[in-house]
Amino acid sequence: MKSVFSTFTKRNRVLNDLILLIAVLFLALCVFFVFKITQKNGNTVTVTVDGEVVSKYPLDTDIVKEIKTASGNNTLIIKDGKAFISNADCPDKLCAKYKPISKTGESIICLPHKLAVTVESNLHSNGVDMAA
Amino acid sequence: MNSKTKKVTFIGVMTAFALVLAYVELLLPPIFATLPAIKIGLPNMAVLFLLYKFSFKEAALCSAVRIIMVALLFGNAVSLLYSLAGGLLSLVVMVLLKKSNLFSAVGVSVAGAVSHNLGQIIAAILILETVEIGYYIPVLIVSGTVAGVAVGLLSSLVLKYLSNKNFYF
Repeated sequence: MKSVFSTFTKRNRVLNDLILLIAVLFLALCVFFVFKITQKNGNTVTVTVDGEVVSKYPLDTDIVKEIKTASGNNTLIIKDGKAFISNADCPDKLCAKYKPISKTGESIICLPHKLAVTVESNLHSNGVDMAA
Repeated sequence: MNSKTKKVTFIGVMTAFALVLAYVELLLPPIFATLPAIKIGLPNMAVLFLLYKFSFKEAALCSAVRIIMVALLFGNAVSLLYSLAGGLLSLVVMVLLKKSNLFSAVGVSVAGAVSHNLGQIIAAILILETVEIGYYIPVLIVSGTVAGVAVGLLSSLVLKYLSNKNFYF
């Protein structure tokens, strides 16, 4: 049995390792962009205030909801499977200028109120491999 | 003690080692709370070790026993399926890469970790019948790479140390 540690001194193997590493990371990048382009619609809107999840709403039910935060209020509207903020009493009202969101990972952020509205798919509840 | 007894004992000890590592990993706080699948994969050390010290058979045995035991002890039927898919794919990839003789233990470990994550996500796509989880593939590849390097380096050190001490062989 050859000493495995000798592979560290075998330059070609280390080089191969590096090539493998770069190839794998490049694959991740490719997959990332493929998904970015063909992003799927999410089914849940998660509202977080100051990093804490306040509420979740399904994207397929139209609602108008006033979200109260310590610093002010935002009006969240879900309509035709898209979520947006129609009005806010924050100074910049940037959040109301966001385009309606519907795809997984998209979010609307209102910095003055520390509010984030994110579209998600209900995946975590299924617990992908909790144990092993 | 004849060498066969030694071997059986050794595989048993490594399997126990893998189980303990799996438990230790459960005790660690999750790196990302939303993605429990992201972990270091410490039990793979034992599998990698057996793969290098013995062969495919011994590593597969240890891996299978470890996966079933972990599912029985800490998991459920669904987590067993995910683990089996990950474990199987990772083992096949690691064996092929080791056979190719092109990569060091670190490279083999990286490929094993990444393919483990990919196997799990493929199982998840099939079980949950949703392609959306594929969204996590890039994250899982990157985390698998980092974990694979860590486990690979650790295993290399252990293998080096044990071969220097003429441990067992």
